[in-house]
Amino acid sequence: VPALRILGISAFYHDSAAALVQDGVIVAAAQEERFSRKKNDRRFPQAAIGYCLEAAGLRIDQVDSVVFFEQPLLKFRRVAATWLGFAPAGCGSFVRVMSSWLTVKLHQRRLLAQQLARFGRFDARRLRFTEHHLSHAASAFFPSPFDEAAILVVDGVGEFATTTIGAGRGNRIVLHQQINFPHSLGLLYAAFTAYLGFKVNSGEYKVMGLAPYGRPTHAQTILDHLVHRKADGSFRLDQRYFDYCIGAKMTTPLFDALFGGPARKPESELTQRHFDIAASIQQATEHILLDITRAMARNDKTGNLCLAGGVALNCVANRKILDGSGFKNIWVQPASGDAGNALGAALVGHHLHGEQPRSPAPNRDTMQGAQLGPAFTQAQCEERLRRAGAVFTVLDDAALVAQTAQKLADGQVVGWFQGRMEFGPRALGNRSILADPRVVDMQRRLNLKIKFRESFRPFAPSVLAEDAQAWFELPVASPYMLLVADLNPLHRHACENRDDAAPGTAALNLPRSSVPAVTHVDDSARVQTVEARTNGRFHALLAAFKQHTGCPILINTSFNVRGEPIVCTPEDAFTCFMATGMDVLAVGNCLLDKEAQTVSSVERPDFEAD
Amino acid sequence: LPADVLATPASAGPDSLAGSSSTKPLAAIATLVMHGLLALLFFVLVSPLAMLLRVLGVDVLGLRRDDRATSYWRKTGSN
Repeated sequence: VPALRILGISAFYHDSAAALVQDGVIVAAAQEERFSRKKNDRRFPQAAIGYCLEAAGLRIDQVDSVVFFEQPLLKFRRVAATWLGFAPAGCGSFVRVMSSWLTVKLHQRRLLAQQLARFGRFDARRLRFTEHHLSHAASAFFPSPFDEAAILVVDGVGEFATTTIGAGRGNRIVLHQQINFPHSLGLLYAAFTAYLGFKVNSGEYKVMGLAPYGRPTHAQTILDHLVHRKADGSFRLDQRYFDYCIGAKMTTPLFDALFGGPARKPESELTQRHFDIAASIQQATEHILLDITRAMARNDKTGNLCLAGGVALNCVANRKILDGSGFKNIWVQPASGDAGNALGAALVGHHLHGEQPRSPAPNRDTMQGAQLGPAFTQAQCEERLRRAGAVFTVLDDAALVAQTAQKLADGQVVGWFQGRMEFGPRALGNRSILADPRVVDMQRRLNLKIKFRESFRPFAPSVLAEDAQAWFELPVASPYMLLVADLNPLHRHACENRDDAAPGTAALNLPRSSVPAVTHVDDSARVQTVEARTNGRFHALLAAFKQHTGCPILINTSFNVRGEPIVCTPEDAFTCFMATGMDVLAVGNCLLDKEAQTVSSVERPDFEAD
Repeated sequence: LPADVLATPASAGPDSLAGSSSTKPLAAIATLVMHGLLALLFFVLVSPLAMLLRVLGVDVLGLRRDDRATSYWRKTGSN
């Protein structure tokens, strides 16, 4: 019997999620954190599954199969092998880790079936398992516009594999080669993330954002000492420098000695040394990824490359691969982290287990702009806002777009809540905070007064797809903010010290371009190109803003504050709006002015540092 | 704790295995016993086996640098 309705689940490691694929169409996908309001929630995705079933109008017994994103027993073998590699060192972690395996994960099938039975009658025989990197590969290839492509998966670790090369053709995927734990690019980057005082698994973006402030003075040290490489890009990490296998830290004292000092304490001051180390690990990572993808391109006849795995969220490295690997086209899964594995698992269920055909459309992926989460009707938005005590006016589409564009052009910061929530780490114009990129201190203002985060962190521009090439050096579309592009020289400004090799954060407040708030110190920007056919309302807003200002670009940052997941519901949006320095909020066709609000004080939640 | 994060499953659900308050002392004793047995297992079985493999030159995790190999890729499915 062909499986037509497949639920995919990713859980228990990082960022749990669920996805539902019906007749090959991605009907719904969402991360649990958005519902539970606990960032990177890794518990069983109860609410996300509930949402997916509701969106598809299905009961759990109408689902043909449920596919879990990895093989617990294979992972257990890796964990066991790790201690065989290190014992007699590592007794403490052996006891801790093994006891939790004995009590929980070895019973994964039973526990999952129990949880699924909470939704109704669930036949445990419908529960299937796939492998971690196969679900990543499926999430990268099956939604892509390619009929044939090479596939590269790079992350921290799943079961054994940390880096996997494969190929996709039609509805088949074959994985050819892999590099196993503990040799991992994701963990190498994570080690530096921890060393720089950020949280592993979420602070990696910050390292990438810091890199342009520094010089890659240690890149060669990394490549010479930490990584042993072969000509085909394959590598091993020298484990004397790392403690993540059996220890309580990511790195060892030997690592500290090599990089001239102890790890940075979280929240302490960032210095040029930290910028240089960030620049170094970024460059070393790009170097290794280029070696791997160039070797892949030499053996490839398709010209197409699909990427997934947490490392594929490194949009700076993605651009290097696009420019330098030899592949003509690349497509990156927007939910490349482990949340995307829920979607990958569902697609494995459909195309691989269910052997269902696949007919990709040229130049058009099947991710629907990653707009795969909950949406609220206008009536629901009004009802929910009213109950929250919000004061708002209801406008027709044209007035909403015109008034919002006017307010943006006046320098106001706008919360923009429309349509379906995005799947993956990026807000792409449905759960976004928007602002005018031409304002010089807008980056500082947004970071400190609205997102409550470090002032060095850059913001991304959303640009009308048809104007992208006039503003950015971007040869292809970038609908998911997964590629960086340099600002077109026409829009850069000459300013002192701009070519200084080590700009540091002092360069931050120089008016480097006509859109300074979205131009990093190296003139790069993490661009989202917005098409009318994917996100009509956001496209219309950008077009209206362009009409006012001549600038087809808006700052687009996710609708949340530091430490909090992106908002999901109108209530979440209103709470976040009231707790921050945002001026205006648009929820569907409702427009809220901060000054008109009568709710006296919405208590600002206690934002933990991320 | 990276080793824990990389290797430890989170609880399967909001309330799974957390134990009700009446079973907590029992659960604590059970956990203690299990930890003791695991530590014993580690020193009696895991460590000697690991050391034996090392003496025999078996590189379980591929930790050693291999200057003669032309590639560190391994065929998928060959764990």
